[in-house]
Amino acid sequence: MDPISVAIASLNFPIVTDVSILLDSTLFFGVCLLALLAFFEPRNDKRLKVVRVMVLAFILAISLKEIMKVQRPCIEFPAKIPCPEDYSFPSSHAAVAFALMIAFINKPTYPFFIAFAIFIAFSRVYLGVHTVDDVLAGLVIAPIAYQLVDLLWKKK
Amino acid sequence: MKREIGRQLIHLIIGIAVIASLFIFGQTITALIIAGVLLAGTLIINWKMLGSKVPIADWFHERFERKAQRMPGYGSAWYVIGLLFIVLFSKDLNTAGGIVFILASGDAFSTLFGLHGKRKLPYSKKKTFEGTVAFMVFSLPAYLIMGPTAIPIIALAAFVEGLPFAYDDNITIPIACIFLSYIL
Repeated sequence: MDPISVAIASLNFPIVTDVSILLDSTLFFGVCLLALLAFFEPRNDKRLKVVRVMVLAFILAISLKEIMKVQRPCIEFPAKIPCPEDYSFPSSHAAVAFALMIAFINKPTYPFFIAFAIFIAFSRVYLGVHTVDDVLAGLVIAPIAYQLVDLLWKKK
Repeated sequence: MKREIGRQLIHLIIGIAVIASLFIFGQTITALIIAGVLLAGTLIINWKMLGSKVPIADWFHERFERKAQRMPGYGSAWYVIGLLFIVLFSKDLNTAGGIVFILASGDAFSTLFGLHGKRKLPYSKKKTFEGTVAFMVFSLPAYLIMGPTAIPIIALAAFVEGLPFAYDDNITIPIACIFLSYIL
């Protein structure tokens, strides 16, 4: 594990830990994303597109985990939550959060979504279940998923 | 033409800076720097799209960006995403450095030589044979970074660069190169 990931995982702030653990739950995280999308995006066609992007980003991330087979950092270092059994690289939480962020690039709320995505990425490293490289790979997957959705569901 | 030369010169300089950073600071810090630049860049794109003036970004946009783009900074953003992809997904530092060089140098010179090319590629209406040859020749120094595996990777990258994809070649080239590097 790189020193930056070790330093972040060694931090300990009770509130950040609680929020990070809450967001670790797939169900809670998914509901959060959909609620943010529903609240900030009024157009149904755009909402559908963003859901497609997030689903595709998630599928790409979990597929790459199986291809790259990188072990979780919590195998060697203690984490704040039980170590997940799947692989580490790339982070699917980060990929989906960054996918949501990109959808708002032309909106005044974009800085909020950048902060949200960065917090999600930070929380994964902070909990000790991912490294910095894992979450940054999520940042790469998000625009690729976005472009793929544009290509697959081209407006006629 | 002057705009394109300036644009490709920046393309090349950024690529060389990333290679230097890779060998000085390593993969993670380089990836963090690139990600920081990418996120800051998207904030600037956001401000521009909302109609704000961003003096330095406007200066670069007027001098170096291509006119017909989906949004301001679109091509540059894909280049940075491509660099981040290479840095994070490469199996080692030498492979990352070599592929960054191929993307930076090959793509830059293929554009400059391709603009003067006369013979079209059989599989692309826009790209020329001269551009593909320039891509291969100016990517060759990657051999010094990554060794003999550079040769098939350069050949594949030059082929992919010429393909008429709807996708930006700043991301298709890295994906193809990384994929091949794992096979070799």
